Amino acid sequence: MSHWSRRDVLRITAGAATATAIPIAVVGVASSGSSAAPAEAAVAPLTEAELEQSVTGRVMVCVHDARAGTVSLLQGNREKIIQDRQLVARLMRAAKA
Amino acid sequence: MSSHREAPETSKDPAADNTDVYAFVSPDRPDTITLIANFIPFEYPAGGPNFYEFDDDVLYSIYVDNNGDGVEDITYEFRFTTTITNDATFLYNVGPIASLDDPNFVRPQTASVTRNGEVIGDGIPLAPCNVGFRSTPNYPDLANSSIVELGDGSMFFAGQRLDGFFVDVGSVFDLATLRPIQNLHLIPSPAAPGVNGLRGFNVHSIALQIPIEHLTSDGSVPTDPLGANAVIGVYASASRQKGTFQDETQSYGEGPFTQVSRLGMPLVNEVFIPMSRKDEWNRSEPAGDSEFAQFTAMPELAVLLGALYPDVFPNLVAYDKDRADLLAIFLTGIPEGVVPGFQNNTGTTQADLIRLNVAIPPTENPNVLGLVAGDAAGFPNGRRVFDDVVTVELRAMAGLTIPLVDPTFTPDAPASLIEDGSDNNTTSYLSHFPYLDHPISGYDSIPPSSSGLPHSK
Repeated sequence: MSHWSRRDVLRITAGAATATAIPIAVVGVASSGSSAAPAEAAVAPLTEAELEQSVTGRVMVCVHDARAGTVSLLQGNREKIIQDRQLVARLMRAAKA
Repeated sequence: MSSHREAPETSKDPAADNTDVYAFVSPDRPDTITLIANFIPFEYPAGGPNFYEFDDDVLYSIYVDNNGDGVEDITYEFRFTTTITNDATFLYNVGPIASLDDPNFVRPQTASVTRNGEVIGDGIPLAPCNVGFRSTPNYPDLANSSIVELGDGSMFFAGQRLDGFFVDVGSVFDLATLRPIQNLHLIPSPAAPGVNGLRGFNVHSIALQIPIEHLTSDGSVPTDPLGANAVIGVYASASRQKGTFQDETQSYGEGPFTQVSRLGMPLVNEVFIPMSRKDEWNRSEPAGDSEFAQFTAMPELAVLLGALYPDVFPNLVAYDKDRADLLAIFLTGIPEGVVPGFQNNTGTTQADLIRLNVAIPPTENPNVLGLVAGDAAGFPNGRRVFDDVVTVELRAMAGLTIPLVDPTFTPDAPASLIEDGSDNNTTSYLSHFPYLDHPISGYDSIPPSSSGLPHSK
């Protein structure tokens, strides 16, 4: 008899969709740092090591106020708030695209 | 009621809806304090096949403030993990559940408990809901077997219970009708006995029985009721993670937990706080309750009593001062000198907490009306499972307690008599931990009548 936790069942059912959907935001976050984000063209792809880390967790990105340039990053039980106008610009443009 | 479906947001999130909190010196173990927090209001016992359960995604907490600043000094946190043991059935159980690890139990839950961040219990199996005599035979034995001693010496129970709270919820929210005096209501009908609207419903409880010295500020067992170290303040809460994501197949949370429901004294958010601010109140901290004190100082229900029962409460209607009696009872505790030999005051910080003077021993002859009836071991000195908090609060609201702080006021005669008419004879309790009775089974539950009561016109 199998013993699955509820969360296990949900994750199995969700398949790879979760792992691929969220790291889109992780790419921007991981490479942008805090206040001095590089230009879009200069953003390096995640390394294999970083990808290995990112698929084990999810990051939710929330832009409450684009004018303020503040991004809230939710991961695990933590919230990190960063100030990054370029990241906000990329996210907002991507959301509208 | 007392905090069942009390706010717009929590009414849509029953697993995080904190319905009642109890805090009392354990009558059969007076060296301990029992703390109980209930969740999931109005559990109709037959509500299968997905019976009620704690939510894996909710952080449940019970807090104790022992130095009067309205901020918790001791935090107990509870998380639950649900497992599916049979992926081929739609049933809650595939045969009688004879023990907590019975493989017939398809959807068991376990609990983890921390105190101030330290794990004091993990993987604790919970009893199932009470389904019926075929599925959950010997339910009391099954449920009792889930009571465990935690790593710090406290006792712990979590699971389904019969709701011990009683109130005529169908009447009081029909324009504050009190059936025993509804003949005096602005829209009158013949007086009638009250109805316990929670009769026959279950709830989910988290209960702790903790040595007194684990909760006091100095680690002592106070014996002087007038000592500052004798009073603790208690509240409970439910929290969800800040971020929730819904995709095609699942939902999940990310980020820190943020409080979505809280409860100390019964009926505070339910009755004092206006609907427009109930959700805000639920998400705020008790230490900031001065922000909401105006609603206790000038309670809407007291105004309604005067308006809906014309000429019944003339002295109450004429009273235009802030209700210092209610501010003390609900937000700071009763100071020394008001009731001889008693106090449960925690200073000047206004905070919604159940304040318990742990130096007051339990009584063998409790009065359900507690302190106002001379029983200092009862509400609002803490809250026992059987205390008639609705009647106590109704009478206080009607002005009965104003003379405690303002001797110039004479209460209207009905203030000492009014009640909603429900009573604890319509529910039952245990004489031992966890004190709330075993739940009614789904098989044995009686659905509400389709015709209802005549409205006695």
